[in-house]
Formats: sequence, structure tokens, C-alpha cells
Amino acid sequence: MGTDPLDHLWKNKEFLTVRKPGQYLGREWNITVKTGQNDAPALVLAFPDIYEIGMSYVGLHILYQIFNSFTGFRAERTFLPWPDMAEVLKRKGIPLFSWETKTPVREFDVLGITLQHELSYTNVLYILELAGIPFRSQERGEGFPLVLGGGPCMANPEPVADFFDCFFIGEVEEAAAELVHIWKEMRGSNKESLLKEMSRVKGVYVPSLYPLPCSTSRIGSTSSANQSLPPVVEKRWVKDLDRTPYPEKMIVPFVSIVHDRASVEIARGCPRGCRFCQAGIIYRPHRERSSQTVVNIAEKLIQNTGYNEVSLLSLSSTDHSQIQALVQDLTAKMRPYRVNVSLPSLRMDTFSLNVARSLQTVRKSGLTFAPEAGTERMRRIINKGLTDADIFQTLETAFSLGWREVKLYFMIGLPQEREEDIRGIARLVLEGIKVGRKVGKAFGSLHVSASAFVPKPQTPFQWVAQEKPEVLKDKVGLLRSLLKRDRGVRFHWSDFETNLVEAALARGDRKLSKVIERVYQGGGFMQSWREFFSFARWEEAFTEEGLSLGSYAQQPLSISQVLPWGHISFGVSSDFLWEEYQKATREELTLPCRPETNCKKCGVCF
Amino acid sequence: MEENYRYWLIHQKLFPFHFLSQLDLNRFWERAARRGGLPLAFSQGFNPRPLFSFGPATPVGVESRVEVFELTLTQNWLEEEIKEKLNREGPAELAIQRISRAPSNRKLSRAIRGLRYSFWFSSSLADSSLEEGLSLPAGIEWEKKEFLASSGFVLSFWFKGEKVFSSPIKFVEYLSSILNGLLPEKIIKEEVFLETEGSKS
Repeated sequence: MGTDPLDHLWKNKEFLTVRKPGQYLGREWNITVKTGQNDAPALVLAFPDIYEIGMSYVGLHILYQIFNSFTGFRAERTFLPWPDMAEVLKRKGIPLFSWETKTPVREFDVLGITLQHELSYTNVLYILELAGIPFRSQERGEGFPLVLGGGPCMANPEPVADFFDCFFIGEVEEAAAELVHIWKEMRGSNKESLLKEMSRVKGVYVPSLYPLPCSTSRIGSTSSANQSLPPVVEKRWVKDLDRTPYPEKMIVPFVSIVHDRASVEIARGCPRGCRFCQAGIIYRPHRERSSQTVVNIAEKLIQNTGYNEVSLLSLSSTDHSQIQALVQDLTAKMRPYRVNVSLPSLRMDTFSLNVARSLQTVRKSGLTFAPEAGTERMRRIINKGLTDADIFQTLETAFSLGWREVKLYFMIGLPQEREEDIRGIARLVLEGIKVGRKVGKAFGSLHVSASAFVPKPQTPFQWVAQEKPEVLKDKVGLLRSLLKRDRGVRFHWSDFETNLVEAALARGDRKLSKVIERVYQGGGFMQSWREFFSFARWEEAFTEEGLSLGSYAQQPLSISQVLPWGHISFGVSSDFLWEEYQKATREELTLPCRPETNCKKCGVCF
Repeated sequence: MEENYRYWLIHQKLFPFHFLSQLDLNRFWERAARRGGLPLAFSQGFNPRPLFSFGPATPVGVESRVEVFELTLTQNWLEEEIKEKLNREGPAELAIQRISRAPSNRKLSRAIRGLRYSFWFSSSLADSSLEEGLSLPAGIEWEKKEFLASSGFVLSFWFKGEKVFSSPIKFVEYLSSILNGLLPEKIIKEEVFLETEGSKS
């Protein structure tokens, strides 16, 4: 290991005063440092939140591995420093650097930022500022990194379109070679020709080539100015997940992180089709890794990382067609290593609970389920489909097997919601407690957590208005008063002001970049952290730009309107989404997607 | 119950890894041991943990040449083999320096009788007979004073008995008060006195 270019920073007394200084050192186990290749074209993968969040996100490990698999190309990481460290960097005039070689972010060829949720948008500007890079694509001449965005927020990248030079829509595994080829071949070319070349890669969206047309409508639409470009940018996705490489040498942090364990992605996509769920649409179709592949990956991961736990990742674990065999084989394989297997994302039915039980290492302390809504009618509207009997049966089984606490997640403000649906939540919970007291030897409590429904682009509910704050307030008040009657309930209501901002940004258009910049300039970074979030700051910023947060979030959109994200497609047709919305209004269920026997013709596979 | 084999290991914790906390190190050694394929022994009970036991925590920011921990294996491995396997799974700055079999009748926490810390100052020492006027707290003993070529000096002290659990950072306040507010540039844990070894290590 050569000398660290930031030795002077680590030796500075101020550095010792920052929270968890160890997070900034890099040098974790399994990092890739391509020695002697400091001049090779390079990508820095930036996560717009702090290290312990970013390192917990498996997508980052996947991207890191893919982009480092090419010779003559390197990929490094960077994260947002916690504000105390950001202050130290600013005071010392040290620009944001990569964790691997401490190279300033500004010196990379490409800066890739993943956008996981809307509240991270102002952190894009935080990264750019700390890196010494101008905010807007237009303000960046030659000599700056190409700023590339990706992640689930590509469902509607318009609110941040002006900050990025280009976006990648969908899964990058197969497109990575094409991108790296361009970055290597066209190194030194001007930005315009580079972007033009990139726009020919399927999945790449260059917003400057799709300028905003003059529009008087509140939500503007975009259209391609360039005849040679497709009017709609289609997402990329990998057909065969089983043969898609997976990082078997995951980086092992020294400091503790949120998800401090090895993870194997067992499936991508979800066959269920809950109508509020964006992940359920944008990661279509449902694809699986075979049990054999998962077990092999898990064993290599444990040997390479030394973790004591392996977690099986997917949107809905028990929808994996081989889940029972998989769990059985994996626990057998992991036993000699004394490694625990954990299975998050459990559906609330007895089958799922039985699969979880077969993990002998599952602790009996807590179990989490998401019934989402309080009545069968409401669960049909959102296409969750769970019956009350499913729910009570699962609770009875869980409590009688000795689980002490169960956590239940609900949403408030769902489309067509009535008072009876709110009362339904309380009824489920109070009945659930009775079940617990009757059969549970060690029954402790039911934790109930609720948040406000956020209409998300690319879902059947993308046209739906978010519930008005006054109504949400009343509904929460009602639920709270109904749940107060029992001491076995712990009710947690996540502050819905963040949900209002999420809705406005999720369905926003390109005009919102000014709002985002204003909020950032007013001190609004780290907005997913309670201590930094200020609703008033967002409201003011909208107003000062002559816009209304409320109307972005709370106005219904019509089928005849061109949506701000109308030129971005995740393969699922607009007709399918509209039909699903109509079925919701009729309280009709759509069965899970099974390509061979029960294709829903959503369009993604064709 | 199967027979277990206990070892005492001494590793260093040098810049910049002195920014890691004791919990970070605990996790690091458990993972390094699993990566190295060591036959770890586990605790009994519902949530078995590998049997590691660590000496008194060195505060974040303090370097060390003598971090001590106990490792328990289910197989009788040669000391050198364990050392080699572990050192392949971590950075040189955290390398194992020495390893020995643990005495059967002694707990690690009871065996650590003394720790020597050095405090590194970058300015020159005005009072050259500093040690004569010192009134040290009970359990802390003067060891030596060295002058550095670069006009700085190093003071070192033994922390003995109960004081092995005392933070050298607290002691800096006392040092600073007798040195007209001077603060050390760095602190290093230099030596450990493990009773079973019979002599200072």
C-alpha cells in the first residue's frame, strides 16, 4: 500500500472529533484497487447518503463488481460525509474523494449517482458541491466528469434532469460493456459527441436531447427534438438472472453498517402486482436464481467475507418457486459455518411463516408483516389480496409458536379509502391482540406502523391524487383513538409531511429542479434524516418558484394528459396500468403473473 | 463436550486503523477467523457466539503495538499456522505479532497486569527534570523520557493494576496541566505485561 494522499487529513486533530472516523478510511476487505492503473478511465459510484446506508445497499456492490470486471477501467466508491465531516472537508479545502484511492471525485471520467428515493434529490447537489462540480449540466463545460444517474427513481427522473448529463434506465449488467467501451474509446471527446454516442445505447436517456416543449399545462411533457432518437426510452433488463454475475467478494466494512451481513439476491421483480408498488412494476418480470446458484453464491460469500449471517433478498421471498428446497439446502450448507440465514420480505400467510420456521436460527423476538390495509375490500383495491382469515391464521400460528412481538405495516390515504377501512385497521389489530393473548404463551405486543400513501409514477395509481393533509390528519387521529383502548398496541405513525414531499417530487416535472436547488441552498440536505427535514422549507421553495407543492401531490392526473415521465418506459404498457387502475375502482383482483400459465400481458416480456 | 484449545494473541493497531473502535475490531477478528477457515469454538445456548475475549479497549485515536485477545478453537492448531492464516485476512497495520497457548487456569482479563503508553509531543521540553516533580495517580508509574531528533519528546508510563482499564486520554489532561497546556500528537500503547509470561513482554 503506497502512501495515502489524505494522510494529512487523518493526522489532523479535527478528524478525530468527527462521528465514526473509521468510515472514511476506505481499505475495507475485498475492495478493488487497480494498482498502476491510475490513468485508466474511471467511474466513481456515489451513494447520496452516508456510508453506513450506502454500503448496506446491495445494488452498489453489484455495480462495483461489474464495472471493475473490465480491464483498463476502474470503479471506485464515494459517499456523503456526515455534516460534521463535510465541514472539516470544506474548512480544509479538501474536495470529496473516492474511498479507494482518495482521488477527487472531480477527476473521474464518470460520476454515477444512484437515486433510491425522492428525499435524496438534494443530496445530489450536496455531492456536487463537495466535489466542486457545478450543479447544472448546462453549466458544466468540458473537464468535468460526466454525471450519470440510475436507480428506481428513474421511474421519473424529470425533477433532477437538469443536474444530470444522462441517466440509465433499468438494469445495467448487460449494458455495462457498451458503456465502458464508449467511455474508453471516446475519452477526451467533447461532452456533446459523447452524449450523442451514449444516447444510442438502449436504456440511456440524455435529457438535454429531449428538451421541455413550451407548455402551459402544470405538468409539462417532453418530446424528443432529435428525429433519430426514440420517442420513448425503454429500460434494460437481464433475461437470465441465474447466469447474471453476482458479487461473491462483497466488500466488508470495518465500521458497523445498517445491514451488516452477506446478502444474496434470490429473485428480481415480484409476480404479485400490488397496485401502489413501484418496485413491483419497474423490476418486472419476476426472475429467479436457482436454488443451486444461490447456495453456491452464499457459500463463496461466507468464505470471502467471514460474515455470520446471510440474508436472502427479493421483493417477496416466498414467491420464489423453489423457496422450500432453497432454504433447506442453504441452512444445511451454512450449519458447519455457524452462519444464520435470514429471510426478510415475508408475505403474511402460513406458508411463508412455515418457510421462516424452517430456519432454525430465526429468533422468536420479532416478525414483520405488511397487510397494508384494514379491510378485504381495500386489499382488493390495492391488489394485495390477503384475506382477514390469512392474517388471523398467521398471527395465531406465530404467537402459538412463541413469537412475542409482531410488527404490522399499514398505509393510510389509499385510493377510495373510507372510514370503515381505517376502522378496519384498528379491528384487525385489536382482534390480533386477542388472538395473541389467547394462544401466545409469551405474547408481548403488536407494533403497528403506518405511513401515508404516495402515488408513484409507473404504477396503476400514478394518476391518483394523494390524500389532502387535513384528511390524513383526521384519519390518523381516528386510528390513534381507536388503538388507544388497548395497551398491547404500540402505534407508530411516520410523519406524513415527508410523504407529501415524496409525492410532489415523485410526480414532478423538470420545473422542480429550481425548487430542489432552492431547498438545498436553504440548508435542506439529508432530507431523509428527521433532524434535517423541514417541511416549511419545501413549501416555501415551491411558492418562491411560483409552484404549489400541494397541486403536484394532490391533483389527480387524467388519462388524456401526457405524463412528465411519459417518455420513460419500464416495459409495462400504459394501457395495462390504466386497466389495473380501473380494476381497482371496481375492487377486482388480478392474480399473480405466471408467464407460462397466467400471463397478464403487461408488456414487459415482449 | 468436545475439547477446546485457547490461544492468546497480540496484534498491532497502527495508523490509520487506530480510528476503528473496539467493537469494529471484535467484528474484524471474528470475520477474519471465519475467512481463514479457523475451527472456531462457540458458546452454548440459543444464540451461539464464537468464543473470543478481548483485553481492555484501546480508545479510538490511540495506536497500539500490543492489543490482546483470546481465541478458542475446537482443534489443536499450531500457533504459527493460526498467525499465518489470520494475517492473510487483514491489513498489515492490524497484523498478529505473537501468539501463545493460553494457560489453562487463567482468564485473559485477569492476566493483564500492566500496559505501557507513550505520549508523543512535537515541541521541545522546557523542564528537563520533569520526572522529579511528578505526583502521579496511584497505579501509574513513570517509565522514561526520550528526545526525538525532530525537537520533540516522548514520555512513557506504566498503567498497572486497576489502571489497565483507565483511558490514556484521561491521563492527557494531567500531563497537559504539568506541561503548560501541551498536548500530545499521538499516543501509542507500547507494551503489555501478561502475568503468565513471567516477565514483561
